[in-house]
Amino acid sequence: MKSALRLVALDETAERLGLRAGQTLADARAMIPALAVADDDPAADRALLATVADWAERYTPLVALDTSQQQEARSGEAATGKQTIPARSGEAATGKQTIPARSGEAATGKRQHGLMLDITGSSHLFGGEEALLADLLARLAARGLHAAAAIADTPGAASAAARFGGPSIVPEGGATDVLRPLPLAALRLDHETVAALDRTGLKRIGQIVEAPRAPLAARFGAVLLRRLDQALGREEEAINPRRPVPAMIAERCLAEPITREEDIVAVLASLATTLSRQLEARGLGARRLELALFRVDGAMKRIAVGAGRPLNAPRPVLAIFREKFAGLGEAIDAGFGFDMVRLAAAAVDPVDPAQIDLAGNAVAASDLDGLIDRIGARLGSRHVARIRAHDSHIPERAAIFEEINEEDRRSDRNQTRGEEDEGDTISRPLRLFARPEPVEAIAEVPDGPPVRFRWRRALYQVVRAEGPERIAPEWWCDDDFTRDYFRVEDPAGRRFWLYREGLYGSERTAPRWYLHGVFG
Amino acid sequence: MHANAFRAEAGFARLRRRIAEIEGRGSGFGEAQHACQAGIDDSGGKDGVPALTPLRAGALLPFAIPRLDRVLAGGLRRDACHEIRGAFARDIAAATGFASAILARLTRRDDRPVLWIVEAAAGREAGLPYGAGLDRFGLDSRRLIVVRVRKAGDALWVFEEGLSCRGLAAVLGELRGEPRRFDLTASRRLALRAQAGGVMGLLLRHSDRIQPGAAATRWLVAPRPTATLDDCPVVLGGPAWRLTLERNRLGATGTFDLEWDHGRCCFVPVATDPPHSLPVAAVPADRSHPARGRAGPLARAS
Repeated sequence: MKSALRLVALDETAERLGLRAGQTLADARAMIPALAVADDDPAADRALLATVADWAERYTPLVALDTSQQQEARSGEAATGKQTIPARSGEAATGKQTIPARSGEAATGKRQHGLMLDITGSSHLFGGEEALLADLLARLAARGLHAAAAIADTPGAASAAARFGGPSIVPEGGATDVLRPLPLAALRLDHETVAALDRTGLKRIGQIVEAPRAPLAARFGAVLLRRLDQALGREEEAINPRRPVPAMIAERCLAEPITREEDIVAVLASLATTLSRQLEARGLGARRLELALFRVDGAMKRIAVGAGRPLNAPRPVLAIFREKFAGLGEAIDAGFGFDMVRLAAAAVDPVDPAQIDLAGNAVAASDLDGLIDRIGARLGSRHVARIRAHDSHIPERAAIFEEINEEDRRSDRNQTRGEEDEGDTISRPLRLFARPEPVEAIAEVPDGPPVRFRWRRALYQVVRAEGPERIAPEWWCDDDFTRDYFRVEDPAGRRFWLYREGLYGSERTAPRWYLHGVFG
Repeated sequence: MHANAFRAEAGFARLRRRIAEIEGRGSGFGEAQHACQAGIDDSGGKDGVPALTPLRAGALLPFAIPRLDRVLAGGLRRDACHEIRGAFARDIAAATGFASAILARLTRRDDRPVLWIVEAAAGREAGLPYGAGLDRFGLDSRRLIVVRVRKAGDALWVFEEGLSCRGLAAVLGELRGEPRRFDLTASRRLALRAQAGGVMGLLLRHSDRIQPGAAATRWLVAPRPTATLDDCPVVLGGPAWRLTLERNRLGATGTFDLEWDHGRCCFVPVATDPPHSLPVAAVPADRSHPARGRAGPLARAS
């Protein structure tokens, strides 16, 4: 029984024929021999739900997956092989959240995958709750998704109304009346609890709303009452948005979809101006910006950029995005066009009021920051580096490239400078090879400098040599060999930094030679 | 006769001026010094290379080598691009040395950072700038911002952006080979940017064939062997180069042998001839000397 194939989800036709989820495939086949089935693919379901969730951000940035139902469904399926019926129908539930909030929920798939949208404060942008709901359902239907949606004061009530046939909009404060006739399963309870309640004759939510609480809690666990309270708004329930909520957003819906990059930049410019004004009014600047482009066909493209110092002016924002576009390599795939553009300040920092001294030093510094940001946006920020001295005798570890971080920009005075030489020789080369290049070298005596060596197929005579400078491996690295470094000069005056790896005799029988750098 | 000669001289001067006008140098060779101080107006230059504008205060970086500074009319222009190359690919180290020396001198006068752009392929071929080495050379590596780019086009873009950034003292770009995008037009653009922004541009060319460009100067750098010291044969001397000024917007070119004193952060001229050992004591005049009979003027005079 455990290993039997079971139905996971069905379409409307199948439901009308009397099939139900959880039924074994053999039973279903016995009822309907011509049943068409397809393997369940949770990964594809999740991907579809993620796409819909991205799309749903056009209504509000607060989009959450309705996880409570999902986890339950998952655990139920884990033991069984699953098959689903193709042409899956979708369902959307929309809820509205507690006290100040109105939230919406959309669920796709009979497996009670859902999306919870917090539409508090954003419904008026779409002409009210009714219009928003109609728009959402119409757009989903246009994409071939069958959805059920409801708007309510709380996520629990919205979920119940959407999934169990309540009204699509639960009036404010009317959750109790709406929930009363619905089955107890609508309270997002697990199967065991529902079955146990069923055995005692409790079938409708109305039966427990006014029932004494203590015996219910004692018998069925605290979760029953918590779910009830959450649905009725007696207890607060926060939704868990998929993505961090941006501090500030500016967006624009376009009557005519745009496809050209110039148009996108033009819209971006106006959004950046709006956003900058908001940021400036609050004394904030954006450190990370996200541009979301909503395509007509439902796909969504997100482009994020970072800034070295908080930005609150449109021009540098635009400059960074321009380089980002250029660095993307290919044109943005606009499909049939974007009909909505949103610019969000994902991370903000307080910005110091501009201090422009007479010498213009502040201007110069911000100019440099802007340059570093632009280069980072186009080429990737790890390609812009400072050289940092490290306290190590191993040459390649003594100076390394490090991505420019915030402290670097503030001041570079506290950095330590690399070791100085005593004496008047320059003991380190100007250019160092990332990987020492193997050379064939001939030395007169095993421990001595080379007399000639071959590097990149060219033979070099050594007329002068200095060394060795012995550099032992760091004691915690067992595998490394001691290196004897020589500075050598060829007849033309070129100077090379060669080393012999391994002490002759004790570490290696035939030491190898490498060229590690060149002197200027 | 005298009048004729004078007339001919005047005619030559006119001709020289005319040629200079056509060449876009604006002024005759002899007047170079005078012309340089005022800046040269050659807006009608034949190759459309941007005109050199009058100098701003502190716009020159002197070498402190009189002969060299005379040729450059005071030093390297800081509001222009300069190209530095080696004759062979393996001489890029010497060219790097010369460029680092210029930057070392520049950063002593200007506390803004320097942008150093390395193309990935150039880094593999010739090595990456090494902080410990630069510090010892006299160029503080903390002042550098290193940008590693994948393509020559990106390198040129960063170079151009850097030239118009007021927060930088100089931009050094390493370019490998002859990128198709780096033609005369691109080179002119860079020259204009440098001029407008006042940021010095150094192009380190990893290439032995160079097409004409709009750089203010172009230097061919070759290493110079350590001068022979009989008593100490193993010691390597300081960095030394034979510099050939291949191109100079001001006209004069030449070859210069310089050594780098990293301790004092300055260039030192190298005597072209090796030092001769000369007898210090006077030749005794009252005694006969086996060589005296064969010796030249001294013997004959006595």
